[in-house]
Order: sequence, then structure tokens, then C-alpha cells
Amino acid sequence: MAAKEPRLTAPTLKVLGALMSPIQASGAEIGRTTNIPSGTLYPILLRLEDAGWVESEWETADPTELERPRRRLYRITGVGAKKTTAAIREIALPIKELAWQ
Amino acid sequence: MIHSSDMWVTIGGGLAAFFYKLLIEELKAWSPWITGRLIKRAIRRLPDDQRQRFHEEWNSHVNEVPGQIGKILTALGFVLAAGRMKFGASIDATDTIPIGIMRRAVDVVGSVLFLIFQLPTFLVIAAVIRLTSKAPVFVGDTRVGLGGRKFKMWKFGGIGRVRTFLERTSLDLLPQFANVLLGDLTFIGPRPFTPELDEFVPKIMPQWIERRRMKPGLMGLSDSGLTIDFEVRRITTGGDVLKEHLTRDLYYIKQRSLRLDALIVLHSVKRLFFRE
Repeated sequence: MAAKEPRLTAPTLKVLGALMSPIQASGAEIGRTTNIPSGTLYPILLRLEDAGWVESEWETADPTELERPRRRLYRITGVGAKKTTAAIREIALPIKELAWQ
Repeated sequence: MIHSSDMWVTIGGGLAAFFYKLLIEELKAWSPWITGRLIKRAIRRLPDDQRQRFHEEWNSHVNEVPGQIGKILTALGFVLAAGRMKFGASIDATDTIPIGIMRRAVDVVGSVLFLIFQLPTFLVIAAVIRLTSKAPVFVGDTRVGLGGRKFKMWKFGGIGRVRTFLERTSLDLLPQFANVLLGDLTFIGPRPFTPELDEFVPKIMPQWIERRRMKPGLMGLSDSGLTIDFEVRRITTGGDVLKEHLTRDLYYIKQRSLRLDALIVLHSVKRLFFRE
């Protein structure tokens, strides 16, 4: 898929931030930690997935045993983590410079 | 029979409380159905090859959300999300529905739901008014709407204690939801003025004409409360308060957004239940 760079809006950064810890999280969990409503969250997740920054897979447990529908778990990719760190540094830099002035 | 209206208000209150309990039970029972319908609707907006995945993923998401209202709101979000999601190399052409049609749709659906759910309350209030007086159950006030068009804004009538009770609780304003359905009002917008006020205001504030370009609403920024009618009565006497009120309305017309609308709803509801 065309790896178009996603636009780094504030909610997009929040989602990436939430995924930076090395655990997987479901859409509902990401929504809870970032406080982003479902209507905004999924378009962001999809964009990040298309760009290859984030990947997702079904949880492996059997839904009949869990007695609930399977969750789709999201995880940040190596590229995604690198790009996020770079983006955060880029934003943080001018702020630091300002602080020294 | 001296305090018969008191008695009726008490009986009415008791009945209303009973119906509210029923209503909450109903909501609990209907919530999975509503949520399911919303998810289905959202899925239909997705391309075929994505439906399976999001059907499962979103059902599981809703499953993780606590509370019936939370579930419904989340599912509503999926409908929006599905409209915003662009898959693969799909074109940038947005097939979003024009905002005017969206607002009208929200008005129609919202007011119909409200009127259905509030039917018991309406019946109780109507019965109380009928039984305590010969006054008409509904009274219409002339107000100025979109483009300066006049319309009747509906209220509960009643006299004496019943009237005071309805006014104090703002219950007298409930029939305005019918005006929303009829298209005279929308949910959020500046409150409609009386013809007198509408004629008077442009004299002290010419920008005011702007306001007629917009459909008046049930709740507005300047008042953020269904109790506005008392305020309109109050502000007609003092120019400064009126000016502030108008400035806020004009701000709303310029800055109108879903976020602002949501804030107004929250604030209005808060004010209605916990009067400062």
C-alpha cells in the first residue's frame, strides 16, 4: 500500500504516544487512555496502519472461551516508533530553545 | 378542593417518577438493539473487504465500554468514523453529507425519540392542567424564526400553582420539541425572539440582522438553559445585559461547531438540573 506519511495532528500523536509502550492495545483501550472518541480514533488508526506505522492482529484466545467477541490489538511498528520519536523531538526542540531565551 | 392543584401536582410527580423508572428500564432493554443497528449502519459505509473485520472489531469495542449510554455514543462514533475512513488508494472525493442536512436529520430523529420517550410526561402534565383548570393545555407564543418568518412556539398552559410549578421546573417548555420536529427550531441555536424584541434589537445593535440568517434553537449559547424565556423577559429592561446576550449569540453564529454545540448541551443540562 502507498506509504503516505500521515499528518501528525494532536490526536494522532496521542494515539502514537499511547502505543509507544511495548504492549498491544485494543481500540477501546486506546480510546480510554487518550480520551479520543471512537469517531476520530478509527480513521487515525487506519491511516497509521496504511502508512505502516502501526499494525494490528486479532487476539489469539478463542472467543467462545472468552465469552465475548475477539479484540483487535494494535501495536506500533519499528518504523512507527522511530518516526514518532523523531516527530516528538522535532516538536520539543523549538520549545526547549524558547525556554532558554 | 382548596388545595386540589397541590394534590394533582403530587400525583403527577409520582406518576412521572414511575414513568421515568420505566423509561430507564426501556433504555436498558433497547440499548443492545440500538447499538447493533448503529454498528450495522456504520459497516454499510465501509468497502466490502473491510466489513468483516470492523464488524467484529467494533462489536468487541462496544463490549468493552461500560454503561448503556456510553455504548450508544461509541456506536454513533463508528458511523462517523466509517464516513471518515479512507481505504487504500481510494479517491479523496469526500462523500460527506452536507452539514445542513445532517443537522436537520439530527433534529428530526432527536425530537421524534424525545417525544416518544416523553409521551408519558406529556400525558401526565396535560391531565394535571385539564383537571385543575379550564385553561388550554398548549399555548402558542409568536416568535421570529429563520429569515424573519413568524411561527408559534408551543408551551404548556395551566394557571395558578400548576403554572408556577411548570415554569419553575421548565417543564412548560417541553412542547418546543414539537417545534423542532416541525422545523421551526433546531436543537442548538440562538433563542427565538418575540416580534417586539426582534424589531427593537436592530435599533441598538445593527449587526443583529445576522441572527435572522440562522434557525433559532432550543438551547443557545447566550443562555445555555431552557429557562431562557424568563431571561428574555428580564433583559428587555436592561440594555447592557441584552447587548452581552446578543454578542454571545453572534459569536455562536460565527464559531458554530460540533464541539461548541456539545458544550452548550452539557451546560444547559447541568443548569437545568443543578440550578446555580
